[in-house]
Amino acid sequence: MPMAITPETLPARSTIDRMAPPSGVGDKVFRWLTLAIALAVVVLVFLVGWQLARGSSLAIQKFGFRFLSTSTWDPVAEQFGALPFIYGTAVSSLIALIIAVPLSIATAVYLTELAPRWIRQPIVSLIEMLAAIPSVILGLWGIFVMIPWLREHPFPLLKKVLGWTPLFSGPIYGVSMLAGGIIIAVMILPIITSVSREILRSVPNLQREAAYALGATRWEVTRIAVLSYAKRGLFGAVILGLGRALGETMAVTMVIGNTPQIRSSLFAPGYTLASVIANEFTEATTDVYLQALFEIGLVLFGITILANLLAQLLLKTMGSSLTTPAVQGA
Amino acid sequence: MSRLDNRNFVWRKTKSSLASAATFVCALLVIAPLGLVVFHLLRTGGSAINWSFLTELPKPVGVAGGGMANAIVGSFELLGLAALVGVPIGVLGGV
Repeated sequence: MPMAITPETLPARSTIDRMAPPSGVGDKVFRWLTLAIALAVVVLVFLVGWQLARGSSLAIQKFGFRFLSTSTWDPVAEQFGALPFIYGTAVSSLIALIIAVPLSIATAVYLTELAPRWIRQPIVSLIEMLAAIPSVILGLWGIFVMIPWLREHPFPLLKKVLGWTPLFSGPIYGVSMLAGGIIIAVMILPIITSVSREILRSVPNLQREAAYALGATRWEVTRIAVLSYAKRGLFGAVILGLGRALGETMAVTMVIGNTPQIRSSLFAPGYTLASVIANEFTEATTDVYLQALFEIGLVLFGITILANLLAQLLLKTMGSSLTTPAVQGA
Repeated sequence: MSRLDNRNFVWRKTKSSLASAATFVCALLVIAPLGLVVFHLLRTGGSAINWSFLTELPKPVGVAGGGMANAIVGSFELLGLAALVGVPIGVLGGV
């Protein structure tokens, strides 16, 4: 912290005399210490990845690429194919994104551009509280409140209107891919909303003023000057949400039905990568079983890391576009 | 000519208000789960919370009474340990 040097902030003369001349050793030690710890965080990520790969070596050798492309999950016969889980993770995350992205971006727009000032802070706090709800509690609520309600009202309606498509056909159990997607949507709403809000806030006011000067209404300013400017950053926010969605475990496990199968209907139960690890780790009695679960972890780890890297890349290009001539000319 | 302009302007104004209303509804939908979860928790679990629930150890199955003191203490212990490990590394790494 730079401090203004005034006679008051200077130590008494005698203290200065007693202090050793600044050697810089302390500075150096502190710099190395912080560097080491920053690196330790990165090393931790690599260690996790390495450990997962080592833990699954047997399964990788035994099944090879078939692990990713077959869909038999039979611990008794020791046949393991992860396709239903990969499918379940992908579909439930996709449903979550389809629900959560429009809602959270609209909310972010409302909170930064359209809402009256007094209402903004309360809504932001409420959304942060939503992010703080533990996953298990959301799952519990999903089982006891959301699923019965979905089974009674929205699902039959969906079936009546869209039942002719394969997506909404078949029997309605309640626990389903769709329910899993909805619960994930609830869990990723806060993160997408708050990241989008930060991005919209980082749009320079010059943009807005220019559009207002042309006589645009509030919504036109938002659409033309703000949203088109922030497009890429918002996309990054969505990918960040996707990273969260892929790894969601507890709440999804409780509502998705936990059946390793691939069905075109969203009313059918499914299974996700994260859920199978949570459910079966304690039951894995044979080496191959355990290693297959490790390999599932490796797949999940790889997918989430990729999604996060993509998001970081997009957010970064958004940040650097602040200095591109196109904007300065706006 | 000027009437046409005026009508256009009114339409644009309306559209702006509609957008505000639509995004407001979205914001409500986003915070709705919070309200629903808290409401349900309080309705079904609120009556079960009393002092002994928070301070007593669980009784064996079949015996009435007992509480969740061990789980509550355990959560806090875990929180403390996690903070003890995570905070120095996070702060120093951030510096």
